[in-house]
Amino acid sequence: MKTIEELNTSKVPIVIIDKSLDELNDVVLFPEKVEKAKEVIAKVGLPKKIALPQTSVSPITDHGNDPFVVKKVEEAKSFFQKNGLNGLPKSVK
Amino acid sequence: MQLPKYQLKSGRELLSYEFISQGPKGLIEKRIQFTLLNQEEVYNLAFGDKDPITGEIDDLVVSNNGDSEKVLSTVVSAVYAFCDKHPEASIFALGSTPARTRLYRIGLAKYFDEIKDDFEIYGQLEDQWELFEKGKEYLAFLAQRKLS
Repeated sequence: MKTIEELNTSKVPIVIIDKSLDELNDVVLFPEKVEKAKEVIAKVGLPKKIALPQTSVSPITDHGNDPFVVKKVEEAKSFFQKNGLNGLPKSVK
Repeated sequence: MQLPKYQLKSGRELLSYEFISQGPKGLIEKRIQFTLLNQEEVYNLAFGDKDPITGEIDDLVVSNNGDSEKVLSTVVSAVYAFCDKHPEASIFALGSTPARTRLYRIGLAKYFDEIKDDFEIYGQLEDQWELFEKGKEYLAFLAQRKLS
């Protein structure tokens, strides 16, 4: 919880919550400006630092296809086929 | 430095805000809204005056209530509040008229030293973005909270 001093010096203001204003969230108050904004972004795009990549890659899928990971998995399978659990420390069994 | 600003009210998602401007023309209710533009977490920032009779929001009216700096400071604080809730979001801002865009540019330049440590700010020049520099005539603006 913030101290009084932190609240007084914070640039984030204290905002009174009025639940009735939630009704405005689904109402576009400035439709022309929103359309104009969409036009600008469609034409100019976004700064590179802000724009997200076109395709988002799942890290899990990527690792599944990583040659290093595939090799290590094959080595692990081979080890267990050869040694079973006998090769593992007692604390892991 | 804490700049004077109005008290903000908002819904729980901190997407839509209200505050009341006070000046020679009396009390003027203003609304700020962050609208998601696309799935890349880019939101449009817009604000305007609420018509006391119709309830509609007008972003073209010039209210001249003598408190433009306080209004701008309040909008900036709404950006901080929004980004506190949505730290991955980027915020796009464009004036409803070229004069308003210029006003945003002047305001950004004025508060740049206050906010540059907290936000990465870009300005649009024709068909490309660049890091914001004072004195350049940008067409639109984009900001993203720097993650510490």
